[in-house]
Amino acid sequence: MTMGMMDREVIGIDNVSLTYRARNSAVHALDRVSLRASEGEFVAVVGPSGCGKSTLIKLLAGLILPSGGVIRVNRQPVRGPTASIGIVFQNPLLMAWRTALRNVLLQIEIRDLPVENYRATAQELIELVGLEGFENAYPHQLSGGMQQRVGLCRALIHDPDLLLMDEPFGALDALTREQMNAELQRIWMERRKTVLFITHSISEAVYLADRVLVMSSRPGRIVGEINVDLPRPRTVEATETMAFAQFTRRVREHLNSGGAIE
Amino acid sequence: MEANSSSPTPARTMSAAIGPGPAGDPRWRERALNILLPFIAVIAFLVLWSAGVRVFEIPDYLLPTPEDVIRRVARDWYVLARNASYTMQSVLSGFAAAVLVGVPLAFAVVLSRSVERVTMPFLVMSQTIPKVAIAPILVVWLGFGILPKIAIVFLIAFFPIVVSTVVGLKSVESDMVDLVRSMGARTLKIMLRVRGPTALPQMFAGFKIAICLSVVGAVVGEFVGSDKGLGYLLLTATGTLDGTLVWSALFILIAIGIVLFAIVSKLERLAIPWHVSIRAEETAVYQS
Repeated sequence: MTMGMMDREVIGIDNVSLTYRARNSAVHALDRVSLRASEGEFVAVVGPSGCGKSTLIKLLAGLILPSGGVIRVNRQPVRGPTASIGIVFQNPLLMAWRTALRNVLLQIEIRDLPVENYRATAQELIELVGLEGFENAYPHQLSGGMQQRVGLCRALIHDPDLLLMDEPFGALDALTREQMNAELQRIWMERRKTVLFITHSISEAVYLADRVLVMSSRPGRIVGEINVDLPRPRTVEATETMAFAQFTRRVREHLNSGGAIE
Repeated sequence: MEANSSSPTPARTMSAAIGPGPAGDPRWRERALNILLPFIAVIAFLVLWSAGVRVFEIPDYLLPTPEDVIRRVARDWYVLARNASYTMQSVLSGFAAAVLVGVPLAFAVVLSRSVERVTMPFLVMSQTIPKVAIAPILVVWLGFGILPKIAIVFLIAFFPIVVSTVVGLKSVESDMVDLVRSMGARTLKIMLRVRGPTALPQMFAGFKIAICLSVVGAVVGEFVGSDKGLGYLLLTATGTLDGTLVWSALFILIAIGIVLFAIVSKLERLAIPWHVSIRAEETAVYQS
């Protein structure tokens, strides 16, 4: 991809609202959310629990449709699941009866693509995330961090334009999480996918993202946007600098003003 | 066992998780104990039984000694085997029918709320009717042949199969469904690729209960209207106060139950080696 293409819009969310019915009341999950991301951009969304961050992922994946507004991926309106996205959830969601390699290939099988053509790609990705030697291991033989790496390979194997990550490292211990963040940055710098990264960790968002969006508690609105222009690759040590702290403070201010933190 | 990304250590980690250990590893000890301990327990039980009968001078029409029973089995093996094979026929046919009807029915129930609403009352009804009570009616309907026995085995075996398969098919995380839906999978594909395999452990739990109940069902069927089978043999032997024959038939029934259960368990191990219930035994070996 050339520099000229860097401005190509991958995510286009315009005035999207979502209200859904839960038992006997209507839940107003999202309120006129607008969000844009161009090709190769890493965007993080921070917000309190239950602010509709995960709903954004489901909308972009075409799993649910908005009550109002327009959602576009690659400038195409989203009407259902598409080929151009890959998802990583907090739970690795690996199939216990499949090896790491076959879990990666699940994406290909479900999409009815020729599996043979993707074996080499799968192997390449497994090496990219540092899992060579574990191709034939079953999920129960892998640690949480390793399982999540397999999940990342599965999300990337069909070469999607957009990677959606919903608190992918939320269930990992602090040290593994730090390591996974560094890994993700490295992988992203190599592959330059557009990433929408949902998290409730402010430092994780600032460390990873080019741009951090702050959401308010329900109904979710975008209440702030911070451009993080720290140089890359960002080191773990860089998270302890004054510059880094300034960004996290600004994110926190937006969270407070959005009524997110009492 | 978090592997460092820059230098993973697959060989060591993998062998710790699955590889067989060196010769003389604790597995053999564990395996020997697996066979030896139950064997010793059964022998001890038989010895106690035998001693009890002798000490209290219990007449053999009430309770024969185990060695008398074993002698009787050896002498009348032909009669017992012929009747056992008849009972086995109804057990296996009834169980097979229960699997063939129960599993697809469970899929249908999970696929469609309407199917669930329509079939559930009948399912529960089929279980609450006492099998012994409807056995004579089945004989009237289906005659004195093997059909009413198969019908009873089927009725008794298919409920646990349906119920456990339904639970298994439903116990898939909603995120997992979202994930495969995002890959473009529709209901049927989700059913076959995700729900089906996820349900296997529960399905086998149902099969194990069902196979044991099948033996009970066959005997009930033979009690009511039969001139063949171990149930029939039990009934006539009780009528003539032939204690050793009663207990011979019981021994064979127990043996059939154990063997069938063991076969289903073996199939389970082959089908779901990845499941926690199977792996737990594996890791227990390393802990001992």
